[in-house]
Amino acid sequence: MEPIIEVRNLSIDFKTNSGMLRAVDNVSMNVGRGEIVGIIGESGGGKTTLSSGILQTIRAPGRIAEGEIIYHRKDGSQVDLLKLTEKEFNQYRWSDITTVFQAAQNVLNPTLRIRDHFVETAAAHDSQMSKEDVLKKAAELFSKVRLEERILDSYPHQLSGGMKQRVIIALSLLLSPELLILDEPTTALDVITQWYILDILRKIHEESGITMIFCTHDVSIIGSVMDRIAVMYAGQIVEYGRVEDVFLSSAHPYSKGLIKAVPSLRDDITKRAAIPGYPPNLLELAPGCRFGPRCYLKAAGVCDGIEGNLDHLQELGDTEQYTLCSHWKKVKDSAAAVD
Amino acid sequence: MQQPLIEIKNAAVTFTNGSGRKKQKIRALTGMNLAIGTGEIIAVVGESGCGKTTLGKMVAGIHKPTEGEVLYKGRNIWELKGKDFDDYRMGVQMVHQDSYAALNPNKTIYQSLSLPLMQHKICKNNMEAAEKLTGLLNEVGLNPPEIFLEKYPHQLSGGQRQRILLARALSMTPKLIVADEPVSMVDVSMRISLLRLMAKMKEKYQVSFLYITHDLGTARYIAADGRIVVMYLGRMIETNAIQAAIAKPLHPYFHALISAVPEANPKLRSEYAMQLPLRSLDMPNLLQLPEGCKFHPRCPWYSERCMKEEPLPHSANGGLVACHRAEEILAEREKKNSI
Repeated sequence: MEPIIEVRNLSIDFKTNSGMLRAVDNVSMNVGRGEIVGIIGESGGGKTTLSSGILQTIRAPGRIAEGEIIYHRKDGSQVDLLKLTEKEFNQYRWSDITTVFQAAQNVLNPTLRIRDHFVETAAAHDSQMSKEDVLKKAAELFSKVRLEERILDSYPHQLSGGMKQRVIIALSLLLSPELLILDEPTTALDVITQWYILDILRKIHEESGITMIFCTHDVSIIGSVMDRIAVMYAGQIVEYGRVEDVFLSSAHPYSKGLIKAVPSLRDDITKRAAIPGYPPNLLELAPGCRFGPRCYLKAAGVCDGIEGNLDHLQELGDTEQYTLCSHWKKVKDSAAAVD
Repeated sequence: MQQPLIEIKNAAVTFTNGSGRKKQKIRALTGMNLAIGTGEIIAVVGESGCGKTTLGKMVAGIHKPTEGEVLYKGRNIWELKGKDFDDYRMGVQMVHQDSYAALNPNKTIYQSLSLPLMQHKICKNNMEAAEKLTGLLNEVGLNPPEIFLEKYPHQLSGGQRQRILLARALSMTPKLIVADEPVSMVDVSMRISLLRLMAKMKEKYQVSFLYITHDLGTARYIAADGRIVVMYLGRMIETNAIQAAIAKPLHPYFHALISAVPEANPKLRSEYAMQLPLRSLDMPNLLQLPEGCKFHPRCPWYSERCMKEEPLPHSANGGLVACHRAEEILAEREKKNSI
């Protein structure tokens, strides 16, 4: 598949009082044009840091230690986003790569009307659009996210959480971007609003073929929207593959455990199980497998948590499924997390 | 029948906002009737703003009902005095959603948790309190307890803090625990173990639970053999045994709520409702409630009667439902499904 963005060996460090904390460690992933890719994992796994890395919004005390982020333009040329200066990157920001931030409720400026958010955003990134054009485009986008046009004249406090989220999605699409990164777009919304937002995103994807990267800890929404998922744990991607493969035949004990831990409405409740233990402290990482202390394979004595390849994803044959676990065959053979 | 532990009789909570001509009345809870038996688990579900937290706080004696009454062991809680009030105060405990805000950041866990024990003279001195707390922390799965007692809240993870809150509630040997979204801020991989822990405590101490949540999936885990109460705009619209209610939702709102729960399994992707059975996705304003049935502006099944007359709960399928056309709708839906 033709990629739109390739992340190669990306590491992001944060300087803390008790030493260097590597929040994203040697992460590589490709995202194909027109795909919906999900990054799932628990809090502290590095999902938000990875997406800020792609968006170049890492600020001190954080810094990108190494790696490359190759962006493929529509005309086929490539550019390494990390080599660009701030000014050069601004040409890509919002017009090519855009985002819907976490905690969207607080993103809007409480003293500006919604229309002014649109006018300001356009002026900051693309001065060629006239005010009329911007508002015309905004009205068009509002019908896509199923908001009435009069909301353009409202202030943020007059809108409900779900409406604000839709305004922000419309705002992110203002300059017809190629890649949209959504950080926890439905967290803190109730199920009906969540369904609505997912439905809107699905329709937008169908119409425009925009590429989306979804960061979420809510594993239950993966099945309904995503094409491929990356599972992150303690700063590493531990598994990456098509959603059917990762979900139904996981190749890493963490992804398996995570999927098994999602409460659902349909299945047998006695089959669900939590992952024992807690995620490791990234400042005091023991050598070897980071998931080792919580892993059932290690507990059963199958794996000592040190041997084998622990920092490069390996592809399983020709399946486009990648894993960090050297015992992936045993993980696949044991009973599936769900039927 | 045995006397229920808590009985809510025709209770309403109204908040007033502003003063003079701008004075507004918000009816957060209306016409609530509910009895909680000893050792019973009741899950309260609904969208944000439906009054589920107000209900919990009313039971815990934080909000005084503006109409009706709340009875504890047959006596109005707002008329209890002295020893009787202490008995109620200790008998009903709360576990909050935000575990970080619920613990004093300047105090160690021991300091926070020993205070109520001393106050209510359950323990005479520090030695006794330490002993009791060690036992409790052991029980909620925090090992070794001595280490946790010396920690400050910020040194613990969300899941661990939530366990501390549960231990604090249990230290009063309560009869009822009001748990307001206790797992919504806990990592997915640990939610199930926390829910199981609560179910275990219910068995062991015969504690009743009022479990407030917007996540139907988790409601099923804690209240597998309990009851569910579905709320909409301050009203109870359906109540039944949880398994029966989910298998056969009667109220059209509850049906929509169940359809909106995302399905993680990609094999079931096509079953994830392509269209929600709702006319409008936005909740009406609590200040300008519609006439008649409060749900009719969103209900795809509404009739003329629904626009004029507010339905009262009537018994159906072993539970209660507040809908004029519940039986008709169910029959029609089943007919449609069988084709």
